[in-house]
Amino acid sequence: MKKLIAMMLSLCLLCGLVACKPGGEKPSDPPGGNTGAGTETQKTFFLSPKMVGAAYWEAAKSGAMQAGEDLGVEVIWNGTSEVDVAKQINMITDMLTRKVDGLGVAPNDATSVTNVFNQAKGAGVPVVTFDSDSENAERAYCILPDTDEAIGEAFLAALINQMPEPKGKVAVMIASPSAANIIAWRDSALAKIEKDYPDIEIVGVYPSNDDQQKAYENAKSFIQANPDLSGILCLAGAETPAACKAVKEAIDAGQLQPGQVKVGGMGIPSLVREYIKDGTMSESVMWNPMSMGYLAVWTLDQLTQGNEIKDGMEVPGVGTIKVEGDRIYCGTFQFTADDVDNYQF
Amino acid sequence: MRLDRRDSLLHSALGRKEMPIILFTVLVYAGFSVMAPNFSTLNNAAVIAQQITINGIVALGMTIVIMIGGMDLSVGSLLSLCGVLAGMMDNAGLPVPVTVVLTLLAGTALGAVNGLLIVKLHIPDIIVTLATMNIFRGIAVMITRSQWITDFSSGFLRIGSGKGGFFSVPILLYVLLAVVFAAGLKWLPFGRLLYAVGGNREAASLMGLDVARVKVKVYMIDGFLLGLAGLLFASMFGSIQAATAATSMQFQTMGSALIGGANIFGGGGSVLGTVFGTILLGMIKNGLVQIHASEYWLDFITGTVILLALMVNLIQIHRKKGGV
Repeated sequence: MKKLIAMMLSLCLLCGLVACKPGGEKPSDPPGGNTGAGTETQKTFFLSPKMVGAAYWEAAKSGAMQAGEDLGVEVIWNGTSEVDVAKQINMITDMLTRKVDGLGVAPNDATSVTNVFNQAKGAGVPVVTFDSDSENAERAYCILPDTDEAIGEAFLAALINQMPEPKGKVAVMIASPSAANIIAWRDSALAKIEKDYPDIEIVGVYPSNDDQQKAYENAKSFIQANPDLSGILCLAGAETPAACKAVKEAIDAGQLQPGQVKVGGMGIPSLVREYIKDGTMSESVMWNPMSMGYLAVWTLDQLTQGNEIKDGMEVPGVGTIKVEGDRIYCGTFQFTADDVDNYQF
Repeated sequence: MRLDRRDSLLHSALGRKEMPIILFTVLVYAGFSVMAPNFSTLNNAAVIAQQITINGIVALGMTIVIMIGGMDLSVGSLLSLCGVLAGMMDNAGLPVPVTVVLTLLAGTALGAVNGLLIVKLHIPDIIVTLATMNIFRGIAVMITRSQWITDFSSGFLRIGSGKGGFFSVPILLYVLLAVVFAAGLKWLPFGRLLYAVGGNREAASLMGLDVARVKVKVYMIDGFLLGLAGLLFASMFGSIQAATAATSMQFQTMGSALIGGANIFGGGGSVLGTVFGTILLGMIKNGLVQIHASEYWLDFITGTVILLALMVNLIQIHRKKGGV
């Protein structure tokens, strides 16, 4: 029995080790591997993404690392391999104990980071959030692509621009119905439709819960239910390729006329490249996660130097930034078949 | 005389243990058909068939695992690992047949790892597969650094989108596998062995059956199917991401098997039942979208229908116990 328990324990340990491995990336090879020392000469910032790995976060990481190189600060980028609120907070607490000079967080949950942010403030460590905000917590700035309202409208514009006339049935695809930013984009897009495009009828809002297979199944199903569909508005990265694939298959099966259904919204360039090149979709909207990662490190650096951040400042490699109150916006961009290859994320 | 025979035929058809779930599926189908005008079209049937193939193939493996009293929580992770392996091999320029064979071998080998850990260390299936669920997913995330694997060759994409007559290749594969499994369980000695092992392991051991060997083989078959499913996943969707692919697969396929009459304590279960369990779950997903159910209600409604389906099965079990 003891032997069995010992074996089970070691297996659990092994399992834990292996599962943690991808999250526990090497902290970007700091010189000597000791980040606690040497803070006199070089500042250390800890950046905590929602998760590590996914192409989007890898791009944000490369931006943050680039900023570290440009500004001569050490950047530690670390997170969990899946979205996990508790693990993220533990990791931040650990890094605070280890002493860092600045903290950049893409919070998985807006409210649960409040305590740890207070703790950082108490220790005199400046905090910024990026990608997602935690409005009520003690953070100096939040770095976002744009206001939720502007993002929702930009996604909608990518669809409307492709439609011959702004009318007909439109389906809306979202990732998770509990993600605050996605819901805000949805509300903004729906409000805009109600106000400016009275001839558009929304047939439904379909969540995939971040499951690529489910997004595809949903798209196939609502195309069946609405043979006279005119457009699909996609408000998350994995939704757009799923919608494009379903539309293409329905055209091949003769259920849709070519060009009848337009797909518009958020497009992660690497995932929609194929569809934007074959004409299933002619334009898409995204922001550059690299710019956001870069800005997070840049802002922390400015804060530790005691500099004020003003609207219209030029940030090398990012461009002109927009500052509204305690929010910094890096901006969205539109891309087509002509320039999709310029984006490597 | 003739009348008697027809009676007994009808009786045996109605008395089949899968009958309640088949009737329930028909009922749900009728319900959705009334509520959504395009639900009952032939095209939509084809769409549902396409949607359920991956889950269906995995559920076949889950059925035989549950049949021998096991449980595989690692299906989604194993599928994801095989899927990204297949994708990476294709990206590396390996010929498609080589990719296919190596992926199926990898799946079988990973299944064997599950089986061997269970029988050699005498750790319950649910614990081993809980661990390997993390390990396999971890390896998949590690080797891909969780990047999307995409840009597949046209030959690789054809596995998932190819047609054999009216039906797509994945559907044909699923039907073929279901028939092979049903026939194998009924007529092959190994198939009948599974019922014996699951029904009463001690008795099976006493009878001189090598229970451990059977178990490892079952997990290898399960792994083979997951290799195939991973291959189809990557090929059908044209991209795969290790961290998010098939994350709820274990619950969906367990659901299919249990709705189809599999006994969580081993022994029961039938391929026909599982196939209908899979169809039912696929139909619910498709139907809820078609009737424009609110996104906030989807999980609740799905859960309720699953509960109803399981209750229908209970009636059947009670009937059997009561000797009717």
